Amino acid sequence: MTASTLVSAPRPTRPSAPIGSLRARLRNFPLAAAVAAVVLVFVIVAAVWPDLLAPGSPFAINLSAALQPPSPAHILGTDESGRDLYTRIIHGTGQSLLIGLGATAVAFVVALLLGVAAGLGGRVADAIISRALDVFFAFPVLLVALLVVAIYGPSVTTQILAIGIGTAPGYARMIRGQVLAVRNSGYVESGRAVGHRYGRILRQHIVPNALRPLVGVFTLGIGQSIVWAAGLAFLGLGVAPPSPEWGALLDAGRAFITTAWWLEVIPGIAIIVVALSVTTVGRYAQQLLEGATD
Amino acid sequence: MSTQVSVESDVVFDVRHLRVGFDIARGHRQIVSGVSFELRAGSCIAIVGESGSGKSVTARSLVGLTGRGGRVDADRIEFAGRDIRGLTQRQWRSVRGRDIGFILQDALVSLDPLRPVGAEIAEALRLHGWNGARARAQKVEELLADVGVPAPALRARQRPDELSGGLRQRALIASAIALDPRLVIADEPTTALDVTVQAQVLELLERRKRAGTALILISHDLSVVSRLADEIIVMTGGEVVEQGPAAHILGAPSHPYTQALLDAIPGEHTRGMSLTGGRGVTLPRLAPVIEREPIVHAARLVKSFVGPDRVRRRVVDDISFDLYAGETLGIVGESGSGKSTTARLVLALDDPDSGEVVLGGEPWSGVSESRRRARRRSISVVYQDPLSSFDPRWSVERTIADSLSDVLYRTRASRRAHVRVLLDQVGLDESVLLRNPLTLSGGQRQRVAIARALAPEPSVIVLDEAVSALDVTIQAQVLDLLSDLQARLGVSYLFISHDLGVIHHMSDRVLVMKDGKRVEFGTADDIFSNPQEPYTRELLASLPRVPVPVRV
Repeated sequence: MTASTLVSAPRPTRPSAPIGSLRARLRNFPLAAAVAAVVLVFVIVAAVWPDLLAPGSPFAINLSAALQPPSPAHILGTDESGRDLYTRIIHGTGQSLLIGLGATAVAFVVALLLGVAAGLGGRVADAIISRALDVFFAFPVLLVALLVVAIYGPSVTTQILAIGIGTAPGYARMIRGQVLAVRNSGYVESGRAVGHRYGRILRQHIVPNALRPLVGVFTLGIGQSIVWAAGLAFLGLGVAPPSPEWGALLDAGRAFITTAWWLEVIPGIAIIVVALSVTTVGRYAQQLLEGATD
Repeated sequence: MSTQVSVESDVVFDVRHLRVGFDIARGHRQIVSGVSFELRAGSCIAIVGESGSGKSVTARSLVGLTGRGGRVDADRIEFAGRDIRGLTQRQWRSVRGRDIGFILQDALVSLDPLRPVGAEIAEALRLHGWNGARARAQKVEELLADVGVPAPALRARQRPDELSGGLRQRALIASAIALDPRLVIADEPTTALDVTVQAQVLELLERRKRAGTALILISHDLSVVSRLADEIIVMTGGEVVEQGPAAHILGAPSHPYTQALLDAIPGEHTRGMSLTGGRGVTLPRLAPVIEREPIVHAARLVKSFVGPDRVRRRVVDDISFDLYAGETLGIVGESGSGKSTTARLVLALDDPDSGEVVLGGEPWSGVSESRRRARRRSISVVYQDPLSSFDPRWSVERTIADSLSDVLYRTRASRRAHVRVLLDQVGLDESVLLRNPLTLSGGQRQRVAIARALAPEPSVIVLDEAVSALDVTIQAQVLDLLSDLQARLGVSYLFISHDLGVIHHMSDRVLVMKDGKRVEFGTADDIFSNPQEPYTRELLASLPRVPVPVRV
């Protein structure tokens, strides 16, 4: 085996249509992705402009209407202080989504730096970074996140950092693998052969092609981060209690799980629905990028 | 026929009007329409065609391996007098192996990577009633010895990845003939093999044929077929265009497609001629400028790599040559001969351990990359698999534009315009501009790769097996294109190929390599008509040739 053997980089298995026919591909939008997209639009509206969907205040206390089950007046019921659960969930969307997106963004940046450095930095850098990641891997994500929260105290920012740092090693490892494959690809060599500078090759070939197969993984990560955030909140390490952040709702509802099931179940469903929707749309987006529509 | 009764009895396979179609999303698509033949014991019928001709589908449907959604119809398919239309998969399993042996192109894919090849062959024996383990082991050794595997007892215990390509293919043949089938179907049995190994495999098949086995040979290569076939069926687009005795098809083809296939085979008789323009059309040619300073001067190049077994091997060992302006220098050798590594040294993608490359009169190897970068535009490369050298996200336009000089083509409009010029030069029209190369045919992709190689306006293009993956008529078009570009632009080619015919057709001078060393170096005429070294002679003797009809 000589060094001339080109390792072919990952490549979509089926031929994609001409680039102009993106519209044609969108026409074959599957039902699941359509439903998920509608849910996401709703979620984004709720995050950006919650008053449009739920005009009341999420903190309005009405002790006379405490712990009411779902009814026409309070479609998702009320909590122990008589606050409307629907209003609270809608107003909590922004924070939950922010944590999901923010944590994934943090994880992405950390993972990109580590993964690219390990993939391109030569044998020594690769060995150091990879072993460090292995050590990180030995700790559960939750433990790492707990550590960060313990140091900086609970808040939205620390949640983002905690979950971002906790989930970064997995992404870093995937990026490293992709970078290694792309680095040895024929098109990188062609770029060298025509005399492009290393920075240009890194920018136009290595980074985009290493990341392309991971777009789906990152969208899956958004849903996953929301779930992690809920987990932290459930342990009382999330956003402080009066906040309607979804994890905080879960944590608060825990005390009433036998008497007022809706306080626990409904925020849980909200988390699942959003995570599923992001995942479905993400998967579809990935297929679209790779040119496979089914 | 008058001797009908006695002849009829040794007809092994009788196929009348075979039709194969596949159910697709919207309806049904006919892939093969109307193949008929009669095959006798001890004779060979060859089905020849290019990719997409339906030849492999034909072969597979004859042994019940059509695949999902496939529908096979025929007026008659009789194997040894028995109607085998509509056999169930279970019934097929008893026929395949025992009565019909099937040899596929790629032995590495067809053999189980985790199982010693001996066990693989023994499995075929066991399934068909060989019960004693010891008897099986002995038979396996006999079979391997039969197909010319040295040290069969040792080889039987090795796994496919421990064997060379030639030994693997022989092991596969041994498993196909293990039960002494009356019919062997071989689908491109030698396509991935070096010529010397190919010659051995063909010899092996010929011996089976002489021993009375009927043979169906599927191939894209008329010269391979000419060694074995008694009758030839030429297919294109699922239709039989010509069928008849081999001597007749090869010597006096009546159909223009068969004629085009034959004309497209490069070799001695095609030097200086067009491969696609019909017979006797010569190509304009500029004489290379040998007197002046060479464009590429390679002196005593040595390069070694450490293998997986941690042994350091010299892959390129003391290779020297000069390449002059407008010249085509062919480097020919079998796999592992170091020709591709030599290409990488010339391209300065690797630096030699010792020796030097001089490009355009200035040192090229051993200088820093920053000093090389600006000069890289004077030498470019076309690979065997163009697709892997294209960024998968990019359109044809962007792929080519990326190699244009930023200094000469500053504006977007000028870059676009020049990409069009380049596409026109390689014979593609602008409808491909926005397409992803993935959606192009093999020939079109290679044209895009050539356009990209031309974009920096180089004085040398390294062509590393650039036509080896193409069908013969497409290969002919690309070779004609390369000759035409050379005549117009005066560019030099370092033409690397394992295919002696292609090398002979294209090269002014030829370097023969083996195990990293130079075997022989001289003008194409000298090397091919008066080889000095035994290895060169062996290579030339292994090369299957179509008996060349007299050219008008």
